[in-house]
Amino acid sequence: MVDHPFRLIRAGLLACIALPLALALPACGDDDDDVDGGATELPLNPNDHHHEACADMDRRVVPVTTDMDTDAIFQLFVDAEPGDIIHFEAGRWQMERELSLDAPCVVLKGAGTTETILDWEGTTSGKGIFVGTGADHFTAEDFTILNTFDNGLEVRGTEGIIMRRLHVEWTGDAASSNGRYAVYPVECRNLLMEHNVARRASDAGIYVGQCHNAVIRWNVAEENVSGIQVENTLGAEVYENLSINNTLGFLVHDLPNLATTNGLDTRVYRNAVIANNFQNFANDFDLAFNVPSGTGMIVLARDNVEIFDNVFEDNRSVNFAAVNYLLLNPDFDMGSNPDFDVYPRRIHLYDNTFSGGGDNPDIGRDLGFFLAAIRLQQPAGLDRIPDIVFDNIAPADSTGDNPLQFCIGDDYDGHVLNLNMDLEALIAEDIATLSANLDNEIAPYRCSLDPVPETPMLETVGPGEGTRPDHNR
Amino acid sequence: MNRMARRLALLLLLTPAVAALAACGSDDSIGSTTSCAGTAFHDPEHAPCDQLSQYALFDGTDDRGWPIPAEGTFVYTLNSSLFSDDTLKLRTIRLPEGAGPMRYQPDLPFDFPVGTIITKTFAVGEDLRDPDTPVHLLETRLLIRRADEWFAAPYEWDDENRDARHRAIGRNNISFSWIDAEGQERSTDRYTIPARTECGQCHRERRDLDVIGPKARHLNGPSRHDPSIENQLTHWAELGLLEGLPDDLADVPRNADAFDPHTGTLDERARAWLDINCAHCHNDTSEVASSGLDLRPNIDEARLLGVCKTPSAAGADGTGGLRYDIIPGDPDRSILVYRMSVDASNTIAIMPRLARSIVDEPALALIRDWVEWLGTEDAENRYPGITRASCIDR
Ligand code: HEC
Ligand code: HEC
Repeated sequence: MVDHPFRLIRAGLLACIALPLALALPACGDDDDDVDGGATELPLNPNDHHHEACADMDRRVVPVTTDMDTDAIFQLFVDAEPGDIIHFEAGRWQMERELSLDAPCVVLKGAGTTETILDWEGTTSGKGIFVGTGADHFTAEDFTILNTFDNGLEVRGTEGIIMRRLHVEWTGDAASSNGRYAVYPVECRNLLMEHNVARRASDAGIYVGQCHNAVIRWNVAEENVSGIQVENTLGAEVYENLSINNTLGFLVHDLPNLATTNGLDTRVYRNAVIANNFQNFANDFDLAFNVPSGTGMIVLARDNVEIFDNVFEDNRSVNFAAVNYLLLNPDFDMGSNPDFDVYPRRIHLYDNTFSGGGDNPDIGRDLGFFLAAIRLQQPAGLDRIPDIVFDNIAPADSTGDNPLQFCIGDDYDGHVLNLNMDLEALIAEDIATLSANLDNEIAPYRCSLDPVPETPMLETVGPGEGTRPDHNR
Repeated sequence: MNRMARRLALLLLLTPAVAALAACGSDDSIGSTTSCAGTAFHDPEHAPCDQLSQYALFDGTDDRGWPIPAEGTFVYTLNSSLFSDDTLKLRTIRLPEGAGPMRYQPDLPFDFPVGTIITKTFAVGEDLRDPDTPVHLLETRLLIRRADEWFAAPYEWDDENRDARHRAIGRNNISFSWIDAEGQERSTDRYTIPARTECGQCHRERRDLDVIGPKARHLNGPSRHDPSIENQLTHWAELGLLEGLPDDLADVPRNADAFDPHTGTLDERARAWLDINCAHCHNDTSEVASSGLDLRPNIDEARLLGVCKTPSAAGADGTGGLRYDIIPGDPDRSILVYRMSVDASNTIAIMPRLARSIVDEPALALIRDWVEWLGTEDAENRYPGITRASCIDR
């Protein structure tokens, strides 16, 4: 078995998040933080990627000092000129309201995640920071967002987003009243998320939804319901992230009824998906509520996903599953949603490393209960749920053994739990019929697919030239 | 005036930052570089004036407390309008002198010449049963047509209805009370003056900041401000304030008055209400487009209106534990109705956000009736295929 270079990265990341917040992060967040030492006067690290569209701007540095209260800070956001660098010094602020921003090319910059801490504890409405249409080419880096009522940092409908070295966390219990998403860029284009840490979001920690072109790397998600989640997105590069002890490590999925209906082209590689066995504390009507604790990665209804060189370890319900949308939402009415493709198509898995897991499915959720039932039956002598689970639900009119083109590389010598589900039985929750069809035949899935095209990093678009995502509904 | 001067002086003493801003308003600072000079020729590119009075849009206030539109500022009203905690509104337009009229568009907002200032003033009426009730002015919002885009500026009134002060960060949790049209005592402690950066959450229907109300369908009707004006559009066209209006008003779109059954069917009135209260966010171009709900009046596809549509993002708080935005015939199990029925204590579910803190009871009743009606055969003719059975029943 190959020893991935990423194992080293992982060890480093683990060391960081295993410690309490106050002690842990300097080692992670701060190594590239010696920003002021460079040739430039701006407090930006020249080694980081920046928005090219803003490169030629006159930039003001607008300092935020610890004597400022929420209103004074918000005034700086409201008055921001295009290109402003709003620079938080080291310090801790008690925030009293959502801060919003609508000017392009603005940078929100802190002195590092352990140095600059914005705490919304006690607020009873609002997000932490809301970045709306108009604020194209936005950057947030090097600070911590704590205890927001709703999402930590939400960015909606913009072109060009960088989120880096942010730490977003709910410091209290893992409760459904925690904000739903730590970082929440939605309906955007050209996104880079790197070196962020998300903890205890009641839905997803590191999330991207309905975007075009997202690069998501070097992030850590811990104790969220869903660690890292890529929803209805066209073009995503997801690599070298660590998802540890969430309810669900990774979710790559499509939801119906969104403007960007069917996501495409996702590459997921060199990630570590470790022991995602945290309790499910989602709100009961979130899709994530239906996920059994101990799920490593789910590809749900998404097409064109290439998954390679990842490490899956000790996810107690199942390490990897590619399933139909109905498996998590059996009430979904396909008839009235004809545009939505519920099937995961062209999923290609190879060169991944699996160990442990599948030995104790969470019976508190339908899917986990079903897996537990299968484990007890031990079909073909399996004593744990195989590392790869596939529901093999295909449209009624399809032909051949593998109509959805679910492909597993030659390197994989484990089992595939082939659920061979039929939709009727699934909708009827007819466990007997469902488990009668199981097999663990891998032969139909020994195939390979054309590589998924790489997603470019932050394609350059001038200020104001941004186009919105296609609404392909 | 004396009192205001004193306030200003006090502010100058107290806060150096504010003093810098206020300087553009204090009488002795009038010079060639500032256009916050108390004349009607405001330079639209100029930073927002510190005091509302500096735009000279109004000539003081009348004995009920309402600002009196100055020469060149005219009032408009909408067939159906946005609910904002039962506050009363005064909406005005001032076109810059010599810049020509506003230009008619059939569906989009009218085109306005650079320099136009549109205002909307929010006031608490003491007793809404009395059409001439005295008012306490809360805020006046300005949209100023700049060369490249509209510019938004919120102003907050002082306690004496004397003048309003620019407050870009808005204000949360404002309290007041009033007697509503049914004679009930009402109050709120969560009224919001949005911050300048929040205006865009509603005013960016098509990405650029834009006006919402000044569209043909909202204006095509009598003025409620001046009963002598039978149709605002033809009136303005006659005065040369509006160009491009079709000769035949039958060719001009017209929304119903949501609460006047003489102006439209239940469906027309409900759709008119959803248009002006929701469609600036729920359409296919705004930053909310991703949710896939489209409440614009020209949408006939039931699923886009939320029929048997599962919500995209909302958690339990946002759905009330319900599954579909609309189940025809079943308002009690329709999320859209639920989200109108909560007040600001449920900040996740409340729709629309930022606009209200209390429940708009008459509107809730209207939309409930409409959802009820959607379950009838009559509705099948309007929205083909809309049947209750189309939502899986669980
Ligand atoms: C919750 C959504 C919402 C927010 C937030 C909002 N507006 Fe509006 N605004 C509307 C709607 C809807 C209308 C038209 C309906 C009406 O006038 O009743 C409107 C009308 C106006 C008008 C009259 C011209 C027009 O566009 O119809 C002005 C001026 C205005 N708003 C200014 C502002 C400013 C300034 C802000 C921010 C301080 C703001 N608005 C925030 C929804 C909003
Ligand atoms: C300021 C913008 C804004 C306005 C105005 C607004 N909404 Fe929303 N609405 C949103 C956002 C953002 C979401 C998605 C997030 C969520 O569900 O909270 C949403 C979601 C919804 C949903 C769930 C939709 C789905 O299918 O995902 C419903 C139903 C809804 N709104 C109803 C309304 C109604 C009814 C009105 C008018 C009374 C309204 N909204 C006005 C912003 C707005």
